[in-house]
Amino acid sequence: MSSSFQNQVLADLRPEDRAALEPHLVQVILAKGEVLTEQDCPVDQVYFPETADLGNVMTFPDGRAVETSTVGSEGVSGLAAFLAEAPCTWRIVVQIEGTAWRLDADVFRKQVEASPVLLTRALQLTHDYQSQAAQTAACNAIHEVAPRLARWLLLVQDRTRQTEILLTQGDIATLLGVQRTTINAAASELRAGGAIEYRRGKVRIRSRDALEGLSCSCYQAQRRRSEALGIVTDLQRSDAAAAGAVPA
Amino acid sequence: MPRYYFSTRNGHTLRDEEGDVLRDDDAARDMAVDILSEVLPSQRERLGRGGQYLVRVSDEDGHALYEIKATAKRTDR
Repeated sequence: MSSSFQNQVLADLRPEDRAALEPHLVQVILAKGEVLTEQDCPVDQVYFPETADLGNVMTFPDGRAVETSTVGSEGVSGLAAFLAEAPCTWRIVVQIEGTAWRLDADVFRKQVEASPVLLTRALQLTHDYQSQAAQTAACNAIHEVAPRLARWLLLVQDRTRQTEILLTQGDIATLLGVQRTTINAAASELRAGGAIEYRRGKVRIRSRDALEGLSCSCYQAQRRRSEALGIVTDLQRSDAAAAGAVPA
Repeated sequence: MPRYYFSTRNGHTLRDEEGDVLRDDDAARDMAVDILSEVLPSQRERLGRGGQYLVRVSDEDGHALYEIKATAKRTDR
């Protein structure tokens, strides 16, 4: 059993919560495209991603599926449904393969009920995911695709720390709810701005600063909200440390 | 089902090397209209300067099947 967790919820657990949960945690490797919880189904297990990144995806009868929010190393999957003991509103699918800790939802629920500190954390995360989904819905309605793509790449990098994102333009198009060629055009804009390079099946982030400059305001808005709640990823933590460092 | 390629042009041409497998020509035309409507908001400035934006659909042999395009021009002078 690992003594230091990359997942922030697990890393921040108080000793008594950690003692209760740790024996039940199972480390898993999640493959891209794996469905962890199906839309409208109960949340039997929750996942605390470390290097994996999960998408909360709304599916439609015609087969289309659009991402509403993402869950990575800052949090835990299926939280709102789990807390409400209701079916999951969306499909939870692995968008970036990697590692995570799996826990039976009943074990987590029991501990959340026993620990006010853990309950507060769970409610803050639920609020943050709701806020992210609302921001994304509004963003999808009014912002152009290139700034949305920039925002989305920043969100994924924040959670996975990866410079190379192994997704095809088709995958990204599905998640953003647009056509593949539209992503090709948007990626071409970001490339012209010096932010990314891309080849088939792979996007490489060249400059986070350039990407932030090309992103819509939604990225910073959401990040400020999350940080105010103390919900940050590893990458954001080291970013903040670097920004606050006094130059030698 | 056939594969269709969607290149776009706004001064320079962005070629499509991947293509999409679709039911038929009509589905390809519909997709081209979607692409135009999704990309168009980023082309305001270009259209305002009298430019055009174009989506071209080609088949697997490289034959152009459709062109969907947008232009903007003043009509009172």
